[in-house]
Amino acid sequence: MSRDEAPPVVELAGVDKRFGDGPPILEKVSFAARRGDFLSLIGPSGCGKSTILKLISGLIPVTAGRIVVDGTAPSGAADRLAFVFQEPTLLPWLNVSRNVEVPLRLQGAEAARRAEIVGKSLALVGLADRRDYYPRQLSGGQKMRVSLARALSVEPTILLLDEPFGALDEISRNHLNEELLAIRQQLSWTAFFVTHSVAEAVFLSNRILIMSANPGRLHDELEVGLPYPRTEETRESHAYQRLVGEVSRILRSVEELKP
Amino acid sequence: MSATGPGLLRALRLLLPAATGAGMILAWYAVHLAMSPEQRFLLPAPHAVARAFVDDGPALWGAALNTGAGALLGFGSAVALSFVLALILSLSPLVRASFYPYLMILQMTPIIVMAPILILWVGPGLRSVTIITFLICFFPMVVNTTQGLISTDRNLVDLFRMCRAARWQEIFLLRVPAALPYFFTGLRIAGTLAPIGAIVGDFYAGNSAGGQGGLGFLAIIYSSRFQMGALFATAAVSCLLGFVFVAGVIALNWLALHKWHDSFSHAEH
Amino acid sequence: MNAPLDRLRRPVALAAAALAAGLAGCSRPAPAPGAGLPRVRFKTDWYPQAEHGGFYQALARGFYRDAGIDVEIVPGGPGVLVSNIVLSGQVDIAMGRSDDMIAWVSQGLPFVIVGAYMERDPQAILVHDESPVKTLADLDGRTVMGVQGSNWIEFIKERYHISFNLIPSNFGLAQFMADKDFIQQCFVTNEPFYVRKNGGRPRTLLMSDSGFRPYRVMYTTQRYLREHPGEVRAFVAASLRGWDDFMNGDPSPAKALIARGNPGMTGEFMDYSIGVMRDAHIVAGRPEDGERIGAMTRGRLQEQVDDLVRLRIIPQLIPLDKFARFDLTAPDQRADAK
Repeated sequence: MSRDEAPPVVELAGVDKRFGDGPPILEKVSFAARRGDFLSLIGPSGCGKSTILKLISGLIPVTAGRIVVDGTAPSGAADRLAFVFQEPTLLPWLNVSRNVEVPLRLQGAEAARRAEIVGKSLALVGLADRRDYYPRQLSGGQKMRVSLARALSVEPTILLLDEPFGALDEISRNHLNEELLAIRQQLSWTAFFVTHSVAEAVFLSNRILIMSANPGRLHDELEVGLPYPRTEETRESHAYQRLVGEVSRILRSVEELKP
Repeated sequence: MSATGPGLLRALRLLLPAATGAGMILAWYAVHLAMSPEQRFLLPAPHAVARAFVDDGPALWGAALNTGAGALLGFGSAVALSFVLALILSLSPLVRASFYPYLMILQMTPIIVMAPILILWVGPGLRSVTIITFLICFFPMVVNTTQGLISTDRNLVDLFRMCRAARWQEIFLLRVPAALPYFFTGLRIAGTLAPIGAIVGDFYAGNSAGGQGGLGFLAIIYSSRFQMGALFATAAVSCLLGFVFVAGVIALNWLALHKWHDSFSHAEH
Repeated sequence: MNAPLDRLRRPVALAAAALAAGLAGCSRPAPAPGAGLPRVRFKTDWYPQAEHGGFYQALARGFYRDAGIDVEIVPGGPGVLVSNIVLSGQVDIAMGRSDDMIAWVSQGLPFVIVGAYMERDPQAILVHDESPVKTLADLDGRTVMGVQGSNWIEFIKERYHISFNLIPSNFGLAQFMADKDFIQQCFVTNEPFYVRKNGGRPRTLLMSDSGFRPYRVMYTTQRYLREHPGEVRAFVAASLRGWDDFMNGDPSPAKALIARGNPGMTGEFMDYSIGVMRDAHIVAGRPEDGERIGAMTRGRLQEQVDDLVRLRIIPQLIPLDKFARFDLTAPDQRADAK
């Protein structure tokens, strides 16, 4: 069975979302992600991209429509999901290695297994020598890496990332983008990545979903044909820059759509 | 800055308070001598206070231990019980809405009015002093700790929910540690109030186990006999007791928080 | 008995002379109340009660006016620090106890005793009748409710070589009524009445029986005595006359004044207090010990100074003349009179 014929690992069908009596946040959102996809969600503020992540994660329920995650409802797939928040959200009273093992502890994993996985995760993000540091001793980029290591420690099938590098400067952000793709080489997860940065979306993903706001709707979708592995040289290629231009153009047209 | 700069600065930081202290003692003597002979008893000379420390030493330190014991017991039980109550209150807004008004009422009632009632119920002595101290320390701690337990970072709570954490895991592995800074704020307040509460309790309840009262008990005796030197010495010892409590709380605060809390950051690394 | 009769001869002569002088004064019209007479403010230690009876009697019968002063009696109350009020000059003369006076003067307070109005202090220990405490020595190892800092505490402990716990007094009877084993400090003229009224059976142990024998005194500041000796003399003389009349004559004028100043006071209670003051020799003392109304001897005051030094309540001896004046009582009221 080729990849295109395999069942989608995540599927949204006609998803509506509103909070209580409030205005609709999302309307009739439908898309499917194949295993191994790196999907970026981009769009103007208020288009509900973070809400989509929260719906997939099972943290909040849909108002209408259906979400299927790895064959079940989101709540049933919790052990295959991992979320990387906008802020590192580390527990300040725990050091790096203890922070990374939080999900494993909550699952009840034994100490030996925890230590092994923590070691691997920290190695993946390049922070093995900082395992005893406390969050307040780390830089913003380092804290984000710990947050990533924590997400990876549960060996997720699906990785949800909500503008994780938004607070960092451009150089750190570029580095982390490259590291993220390098990690992706070693592990195989399907990623949903929310961002405001077109450059980042193009660099990281093989598919970009562009959304419009008020209410949030899927406006357009783009395939990013650049080959993996992608490096800093990819950023200099014509194909990359053309794609960045195209996505930017679509985004601008979406913003002008506002009532 | 020259090489002697920092050394000189450090020396000054030690010398200046000492010099100010010496100046204040001289001023004290001056005022004492300037008063008319009829009024002079009101402000005993520094050496009279010092002599009272010597003459009444055993009574003073014994009383300090008595008061300290009452303060510690009241403080300790307030810490324990306030924590339990805060946990319960943090569980739901409905629980908080039900109980907060009554907590506020209890907090507003002045201890001075409750003390005599308490003594009629419980009897005088260490028990009453402990309860009075407890009541004074209890409310600031409940309020602060509850606030801390309900103020946990939303994202952290989401993280725990995503990891399918059980309710007790969320409370004890997340909310309680996150609430520690708030808890210690309440602890600092209670730590300064505890000795005061014990001394006030002592006024009404006495603490005369074995014939020895606490510091409040002694204060009444000395004031009724106009033994001003001893009275000033009692005040000084009470102040010292307050310092001991605050120092203890600060030490606990440091132990719990110094590794990870922002309040202990030095300059950026 | 012959000896007392012999001793009566001279006093009778003096009394006759005083009577003649008094009668002579009666022919002059009494001055209008307060008109132009120097004002003397006297502070008591509680609400008006029979234990202040002599002063109210002197006021009601006009003895102060006869002596040339216009007296205002200012009642005290709970929490009122009489000594501070005297020091601040808000009142001129006040009532107190000689042992407190000695302690305060030795701390540098400028007070002076000008006369004694009770030979015995009415302080006592109150127990229920069935209590095993039969004497003051039986307080050993028990818990007593009393006023902290009272000198009788140290005295009793030392005198009988005992120790007991003290819990602060709340000046009430609630705990006593609720607990048959409760022991507390009281005035022998006061609390037992209320205990009986509420169905209890009280028993009292008078503290002066232990040898702790302060006088109840009138005192003022050194300065006031220096500046107003005439007023002090007049006050002391008239007050003692009032006490004599209150105890030996008809106390109704005083009782009326007291009842007016203290709405809760009943005639029944006042009669009880007066009766106890008589039976326990509170005001007049025991004649066989040489005690009379207003008698104040050097010997007894010295004994108290010695006691306080021995109990280490005061650091060292102080001379009697530093805190007491013996010459302010009228000749016919001194210890060797009557």
